[in-house]
Order: sequence, then C-alpha cells, then structure tokens
Amino acid sequence: MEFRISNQMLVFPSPRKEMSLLNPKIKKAKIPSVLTIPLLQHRGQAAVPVVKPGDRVFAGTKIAEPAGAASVAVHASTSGTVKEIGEFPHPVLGRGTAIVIESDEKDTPDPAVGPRENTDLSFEEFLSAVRDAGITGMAGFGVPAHLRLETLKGKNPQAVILNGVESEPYLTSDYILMMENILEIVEAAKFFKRILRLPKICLAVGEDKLEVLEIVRSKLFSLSEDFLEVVCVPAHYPQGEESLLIRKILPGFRGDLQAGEVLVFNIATALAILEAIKFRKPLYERIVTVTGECLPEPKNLLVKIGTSFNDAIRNCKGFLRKPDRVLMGGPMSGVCVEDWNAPVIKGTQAIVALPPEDTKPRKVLPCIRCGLCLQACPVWINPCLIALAVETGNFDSLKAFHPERCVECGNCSYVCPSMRPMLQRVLEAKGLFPI
Amino acid sequence: MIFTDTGQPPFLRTPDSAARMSRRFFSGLLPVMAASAWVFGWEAVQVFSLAAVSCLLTESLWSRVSEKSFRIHEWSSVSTAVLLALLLPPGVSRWAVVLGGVAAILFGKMIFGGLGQNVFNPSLAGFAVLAVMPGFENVIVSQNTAGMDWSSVFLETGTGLTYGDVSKAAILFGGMLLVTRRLVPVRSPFVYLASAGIFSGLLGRNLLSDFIAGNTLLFAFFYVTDFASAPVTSRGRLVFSAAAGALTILLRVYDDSSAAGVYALLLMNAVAPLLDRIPSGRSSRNGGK
Repeated sequence: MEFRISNQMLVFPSPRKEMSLLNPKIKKAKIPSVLTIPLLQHRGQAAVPVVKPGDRVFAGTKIAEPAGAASVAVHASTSGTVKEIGEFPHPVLGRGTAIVIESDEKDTPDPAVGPRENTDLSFEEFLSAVRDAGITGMAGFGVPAHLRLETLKGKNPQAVILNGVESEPYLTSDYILMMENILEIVEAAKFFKRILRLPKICLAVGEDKLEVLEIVRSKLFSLSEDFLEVVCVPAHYPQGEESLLIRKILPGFRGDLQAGEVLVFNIATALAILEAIKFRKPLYERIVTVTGECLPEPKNLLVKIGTSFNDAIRNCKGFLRKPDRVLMGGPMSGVCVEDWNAPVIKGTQAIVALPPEDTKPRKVLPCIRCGLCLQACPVWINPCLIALAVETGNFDSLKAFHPERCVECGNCSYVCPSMRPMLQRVLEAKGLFPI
Repeated sequence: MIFTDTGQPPFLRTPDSAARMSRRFFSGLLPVMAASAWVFGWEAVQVFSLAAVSCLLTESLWSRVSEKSFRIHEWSSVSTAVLLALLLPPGVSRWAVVLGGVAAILFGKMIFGGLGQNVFNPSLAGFAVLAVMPGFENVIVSQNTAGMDWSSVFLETGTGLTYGDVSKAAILFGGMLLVTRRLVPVRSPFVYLASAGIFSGLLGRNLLSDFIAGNTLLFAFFYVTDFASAPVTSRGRLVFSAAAGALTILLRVYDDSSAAGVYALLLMNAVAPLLDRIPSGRSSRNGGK
C-alpha cells in the first residue's frame, strides 16, 4: 500500500475507458438525413447566417460569418440544401438558433476545400485562417482558438503544450486520435513551432497512455526529430486542466496564465488547426467518444457537427437500457443534455450515457468537517469553509478564501462523503467575485 | 430529507459515505478493545456494550423528541461510546458508564445540532460532565507511575490504569490502521506526540512516564484526530495538534491524572474555529496573482 504523508489527496475516479476501446479504431458515423448546426458553439458571440432556406451547400461551405471579436465562422458539415433557420435544441444552452441542412447523401466537398499551396503564413494571415475555419477549443464549451492565439501577439511565448492527457473517466477520443494520427500531430507541432517561433513545444500524455508515449517517441526517432518534447504526467483527475498542466510541465513558471506566455491546446484542436492551414478544411467534423454502460457498442465515431445525439447513439446500436442521464463530455465536468435531439457541436468530446446506478440520488447530510475537499482541491482553496459561508450568507468573509481560483474540476463534490454539492456552492461564491 | 441533484456535475460521486467512514474508524478501535477485553475480561465487554447502548438510546430518544428529525449515526455513536469507556478506570460503577454515555451524546453532540456540528469532542465532553458530577470524582485516575519500565510497556498485564490504556502495542496498531487508510488527518497524531515529547523534555520531565504511562498515545490517535471538533485546514490542524500536545504536558505538571489530556483537548476544541482562520500557505501557490 502506498502511504503518503502529504496533505494532497489524488483523485482517481474509476476510468471506465476500456468500454469505448473495444473498437480500437475510429469509425465513420452514418450521415443523418437532417443536420442541425447551431450558430453559437463556443463562449462568445454567435455567427450571422449568410445562407437562406433553399440554398445549395457542400461539405465545408461557409454558412455563417463571424460577428464580433469572440466569434468564428460556421460551416456546413455535408452537402445538401438549407432547410430552415430557427430555434432548435442546443446541448449546452438548452435552445439556440441553428441552421438545418437536409443532406443529399453524397457528401460532396466544397471546391474551396483543398491543399493550400503556400503554408508559410504571416501571423495575421494565420489568425484569420484559423478564424475562418471556425476553430474553437474542442474540449467542452470552449473559447475560439484565434482569441487564444492572439494573446501571443507581440509577446515572447515560452511554450505551447499539446494536451493529450484526457484525465476524465470514459473519454478516449484524444487517445484514439493520437494512436491513429500521430504523424499529423508531429506535423502540427512542427508547424506551431515554426509559425509562433516557439523555443519549446511539448506533448503531454497521461501515465495511463504509455503506448501513445512509445509510438510518439519511436516516430520522432525514425524521423530523427527532437523538437517535440513528450512529457508523461500522472493520470489523476484533473491533470488535464490547463493551469495545472502548465505548473506540472513548467515548474518554474510563475507568470500570468492570461498573459499569453504559455498556451495549452487540446490535441483535437491542434489537429483541426493543421488541417485548416494545410488543406483549408474547416472544422465540420470531429471525433466523439460515444460510450456508457447503457450502450451495447461504445466506440469512437467521426461525427459531422450537427448530427443529433440520438443519431450518434444509433451508430452504436441504440440503447441497451434506458439511461438516466446523457452527458456531453465526461462525468466530472460535463453537461447534462436533457433533449437528445440536441446536436453534436465543436466541443463535444464525448456522449456518455450514464447508467441509472450512477445517477441514483443519495441523501445529502451535514458537513462532518473531514477536510477531504481541501485535500482533493488541486488549487488549494477551501471548499468546506466557502460552502459554509455561502450557506450562512456570510458573503463578506468569502473574499479571503479566493473562490475565483476554482478551476471547476468537481473534485470537492466527488470526494464529499456527505454528498454535499460543494462545487455548486463554490461556483455561487465565484459568481460573486468575477475575475 | 434533501437528495443530491444529479443534474449537476460531477455526475460521479465517491463510493464512500459518512456512515462508512465512521464504521471504518470504529474498526481502528477494535485492537484497543480486544486488548482491554483480554486483560479485564468480561467486565470490559460489559462496559463497552453498556456505553454503546446508552449512547444509541439517548440519540434515538433525542431524535424522537426534537422537532428536527435527526439521522441516527449508528457507528459514530458507538465510536463515541467506546471512546468514552476507554477513558474510564476499571471497576468503575455501571451508573458512571450510563450517565457518561448520556452526557456525551446530549451535551457533546446533540445540543450543537448533531454529527459534524459539535464544537467539542463528544466523548471528552461526556467525560468532563461526568467528572464534575457529585459522586463520580473517581473516574479521574492518577497517572503518576514512577516505577514504570519498558518491559511492561507493550502489554501491561493487569496494570492498566483505564480500559483504554492496557496495551500500547494495540493502540499503535489500531492507530496506524487509521492513519495508513487515511481515515484520520494523517499528520495530527505525530505532531501531537512530537509536541508533547518536546515540551516534556523542555520541562525536564520523565519522557518515558509521559509517553508510556499516560494516555498520550491513545489521545494522539483517537481523540486529537476527531474531525468535527478540530480545525479543517491543514495548517489549522497542525497548530491544533501541536498546541494540544504542549497543553497536555503543561496540565500534567499541575495534575498528573488522566484528566489532563481531556481538558487540554477540550480547551483546544473551543478555539478550533479560530485556528481555521490561519491563512493557508498553499493557496498563494496558485498561478497568476
């Protein structure tokens, strides 16, 4: 038995990744007859449609232009005709404006999609290419990629970290992407290093994915390249979180995370950026882990953006039994999707059908002051006393506890033996002190 | 009764529960109880069961008459009962056990609002109330055992001063069970012991007598580590245990009895919420400003 005298408790939720790895290849999902593509798929402003009902579109045709700085273009995922523009279910926002496309089942690519002759872009050209390709953070309801890149402008970036840690239970989409497309990832890293003039670029992989580590290292060896630093990080949750990853990989880094000296990109996002630059291919499809105990055949699917959750699940032979909850993203920080007609968006890493035994309500008991939430918190705040202050209305004392440092990983709620909603209390406190 | 909102993240919860934690804490007490039963025989078993019955009955009666519906925390109450019984000297009157159990649950736990809300360690509060009742002064025993040597340390056959104090080996075994399974604050027992040792040395007392003769070891593993009556922050817990250790030795200078540890810890319990206010050093490590 490992015995640690340290006060930090490492949280290892049961990984449950093996389910979706029984099919260890990426399968192409069947293109549904109707796709609902939301205009807002990230934190920021919605795009403005440039098509009208009846217009003919192809896979990769731009159907909405960015409006405002925090906005990216939206593209048709397959060829067909625009059916209507209106209010439709949205996985995160509940409801939102979306463009509905009726597929012609040919999936003809747009003529504009094709290899770019000159990939030696200037920084500004690079940013606008990324924005035009509609690329956002692809892990959860993310931030547009061009906004993140823009922070590097005029700075001396120290490093870019490609994040393949994926410490959440169930998720395997990044893992399978790295297993199948490792050459492209090396190429993406090379491209980033050249265009951003980086002194250092790292690929972070969790300890539970040692085979990926081996593959990357052997590929780098046979290419006789050594620019990409492959880092193995512990597999406890939430090691994949941005600020924690930076602290792990660059232990001496004491700068401002917002100042743009270090950037963290999800593997999928990095690959999407490479495809956008190399092939002018906009972000209109992504790999989604469709998994959960309620599905007979969990697998990793290449899904067109706009495919409804129901259609994606149908690719895994439907439900084995009725799930209580269907989540977008992992069970620790994902979103519960009530309406399963909601579409897959750019940030949908996974569709998880949680079994009823996991979602059974349990009794909430009073706090026993065990201090587990403090030990499990990766950023060393005090969820116990924050929750107490929120519940007793003692808002003046909250500021000293720094609730704004919370990274919303959910560890405090996960470990609480009294089943208290710690994360929600901390978020309430966080809402009182915007950064 | 409020239930978890399963529509909010995280959707997975720990398989552990408060009830399970109390059960596992109780399992750490088993070696001490076994040693006690080995030495004192049937009498020890009777005292433990009597205390447990008294605590459980008090809690269920209180739950019935109070307006708020309390959940009976079975194993937590049993632990409280055993922890109280371990403080009592052998041959104590059965009335002391029953009254102590009632006082522990009533004045130690329930008047503060039940499990987790208690300011004082319930067993210690029960013991303190018992000790001031007329006729029960004999629950406090002197611990001045000058002629102690190492040979009688591990299983003090028959020479134990209280039910809990018969075997240091059993206390260490049960305590380490709790510590290695992280059922108690990991650092607290060792900080308490170190602080008591340092203070004992500073005051020029007999280290052997303070550690082995007294109930220091028992307190370090089973009383100082109580969650609800200790601070919740790691630094608060360090200060709490260190101060409790020092205070125990200081009180022993004036009265070398089993009550020294009890009153030292009760005093520290009272200031525990203040110790929570000690700013944590680690939170400043977070990135950014």
